[in-house]
Amino acid sequence: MKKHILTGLSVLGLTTITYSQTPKENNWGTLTGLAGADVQFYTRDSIIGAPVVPEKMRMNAFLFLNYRKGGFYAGARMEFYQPKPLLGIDERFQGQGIPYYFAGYQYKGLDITAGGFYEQFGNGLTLRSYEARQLGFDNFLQGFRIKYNVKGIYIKGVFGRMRDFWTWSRGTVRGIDAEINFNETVPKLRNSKFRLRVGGSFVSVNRPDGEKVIGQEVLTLPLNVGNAAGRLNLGYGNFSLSGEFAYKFNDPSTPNRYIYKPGASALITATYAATNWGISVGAKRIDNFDFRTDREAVGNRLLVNWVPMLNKQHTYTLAASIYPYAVQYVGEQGLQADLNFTIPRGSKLGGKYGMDININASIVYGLDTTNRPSRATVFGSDTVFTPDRYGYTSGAGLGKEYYQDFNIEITKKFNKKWKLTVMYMQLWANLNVLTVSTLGKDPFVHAHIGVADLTWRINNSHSLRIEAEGMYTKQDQGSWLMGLVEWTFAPHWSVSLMNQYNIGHPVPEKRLNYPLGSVVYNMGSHRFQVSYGRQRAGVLCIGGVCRAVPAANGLTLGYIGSF
Amino acid sequence: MNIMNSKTVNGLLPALLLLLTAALSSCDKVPAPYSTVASNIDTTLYPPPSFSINPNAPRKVLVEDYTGHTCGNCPDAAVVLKNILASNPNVVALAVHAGSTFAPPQPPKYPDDWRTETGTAFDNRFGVSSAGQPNGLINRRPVSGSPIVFHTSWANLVNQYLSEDPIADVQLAIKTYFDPASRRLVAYVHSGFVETISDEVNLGVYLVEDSIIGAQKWYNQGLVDDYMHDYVHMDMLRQNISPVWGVSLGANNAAGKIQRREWQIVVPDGYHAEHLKVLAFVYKVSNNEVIQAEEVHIIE
Repeated sequence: MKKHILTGLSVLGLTTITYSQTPKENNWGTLTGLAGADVQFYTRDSIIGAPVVPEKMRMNAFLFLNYRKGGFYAGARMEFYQPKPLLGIDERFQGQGIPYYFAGYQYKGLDITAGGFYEQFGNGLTLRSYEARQLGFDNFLQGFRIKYNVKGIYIKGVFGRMRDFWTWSRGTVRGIDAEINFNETVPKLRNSKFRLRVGGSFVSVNRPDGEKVIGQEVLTLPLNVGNAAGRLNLGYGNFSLSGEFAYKFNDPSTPNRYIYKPGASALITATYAATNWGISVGAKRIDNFDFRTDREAVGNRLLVNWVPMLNKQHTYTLAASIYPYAVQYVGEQGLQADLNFTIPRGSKLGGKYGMDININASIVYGLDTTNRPSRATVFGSDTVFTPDRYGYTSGAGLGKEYYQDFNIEITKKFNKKWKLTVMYMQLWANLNVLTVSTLGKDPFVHAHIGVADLTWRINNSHSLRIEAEGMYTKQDQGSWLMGLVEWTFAPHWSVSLMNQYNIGHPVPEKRLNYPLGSVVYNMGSHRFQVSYGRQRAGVLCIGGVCRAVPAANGLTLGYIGSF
Repeated sequence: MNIMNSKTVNGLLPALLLLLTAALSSCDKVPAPYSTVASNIDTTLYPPPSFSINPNAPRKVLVEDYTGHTCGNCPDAAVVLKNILASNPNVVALAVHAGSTFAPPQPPKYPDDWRTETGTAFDNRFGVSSAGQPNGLINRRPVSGSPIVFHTSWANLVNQYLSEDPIADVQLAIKTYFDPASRRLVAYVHSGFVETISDEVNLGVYLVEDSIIGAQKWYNQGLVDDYMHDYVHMDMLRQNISPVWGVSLGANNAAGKIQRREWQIVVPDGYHAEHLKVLAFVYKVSNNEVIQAEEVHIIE
């Protein structure tokens, strides 16, 4: 229950990756680590559209070591992508080396880091550097960071250049963030039901280009682009309200087509969490908020900020990986409502274990923009028309519809042996906007998705999970069916067989099956996986940042472990 | 707030203020218009064409079709226009998506906005969409008081105007250069006066695109909801190249006079060069009547 509410809240929260291990302090300090490797063998499979991989076999691997003794800490990550990164990961990662390394010191409220670091200010509208390995996304900053906190006042300062595959961004990021938690600062509020946090941040990116030539136009570029934000978190008892507003100064770039209009973004979320139910309602408006260390960068490269998604991040295969929503940094506006409730134990519907229900709805529109008339420059009888570089004015109305999602998920544990989750989802997606999707003939997709996920715990060591999913749509690639059987033999083994079937593809020859078998072996905090089969082309999104997943066929070996 | 007495905080706050001031100053604001437009047309790269008056240059009639994607009767007018074009080489067509009823986007089915600043200006001056759509203008010439003509009369009027005087009063010639890499489009427009014209005339030049696939409502075609998602829009006005109402060629142009005007623009991404045309026409400023029209594809 609580977890669900928190998931809703995490829209405006921080996603933290923890490298879990209980530190064993001794004279030598503590060394912890995380390692992973994925090897994929590629087989030709032209019918599913799998790209030909001349290398046949590729590997992504990393080892992250983290050392700590007293207040001192240091770490490094070795990365390996050879002969090329796995399909779908940006090929510019090709190579091997130790891009990420750092050392730092903590003393009371002070924390100083030199080298690489990950950081987030507020919700991320001004700065968020993070790693999402499956996306091939990594924008850590290389430089210096200072953090200081005293009596509920938190201050952070960062100065650095951003990772750009195997080099550093040409631009430099300078940022400062401050937050006051009044419940810590003001003694009277320490145990109050009333909660208040106020924060602000400012990030400036220095980019070394002074001019940009487009056609006959020579643009004067701002060398330093500033982005400022203020945020507020208010709470009283079970109720909380949080909001952030950010303003970005003129930032002409390739993603915004070199316009000088300032960017503005607003996020607001209200949450109420009671014992058996909770609700979270959020709204956002993002206007020209793509912010990068290089104005020529596109895609997921060199992003300084992050715009939170205001949609449910689905986990079931068909819901998560065919038409997920990719947040549009150049402009969008949306609403989300997320309602959770538990039908209590002992009631007629609730039974012995209760029943959890999650209802979630979100909708995203583009902005209602009006392009400014073009600019005429007269040379004798020759008039040259160039775009008005301010760009557009945005009204309060709605632009094109981008996305809609309504879903309901019910989880019920019948007894110690049986547990069932069912989900229904209806989505509407504008593929003209979500360009990472496989664009078919019809750019507007309306789909219904149903999921049933049944777990049968046979005894203490054996359990069987059966998942059935269906997606019904008349557009794009048509309908899909998916089935999964997973047998877990605790504590080590898990074997699964999955198939996806594109039953409704408009081209009968493309009504294909995508079978995939996997065997997983767990050994403590180490996990080995072998899979064989077809990977369907699709989209992978984490926090609204997406990449295309190309089709593939073959054997995959995977390892992940920590110590 | 007694914490303000704390030494640490006292030391911290000025430092914070200093940092903030320093940070806020590291932000540049570029004043409008943000850019300078460089040099004239490079005539070594894009040499102006030679031009001489052809005293027998044919008259060409401009047919404007004011339309909208949610106007279910409008494709019927487009069919009429298509037939006119097929049977007569001396017709230049311009489809203007304008008006507040049928042209605005209506997502999700009609998401596109094909309206243009120019089209809206034309529509406002002649009041076409407020008279109902489909409707059109033939040479912007009034027929019993109003220039607005229903599509059933288009073919007759075109034939009438062409037969009145099959020789042009002003000959127009357009030469274009298009560089796909920079998307630069250079257009030279020559006006050669075959007859003396005392009225002041303007030359308007516009970018027109064929074969744009988009949604269209079309009645009586047996379509579900009368909805066609892949309708092929022809002759669509995309933007002005000259100012909206053109540039003045002056008054009292004697027969034999030649004038040249040139433009260069960067063709926006998303316009398909192979379907783009440059359309030009000359009209009398006093009564808006179009006296000659011409168009060429930007890629021959």
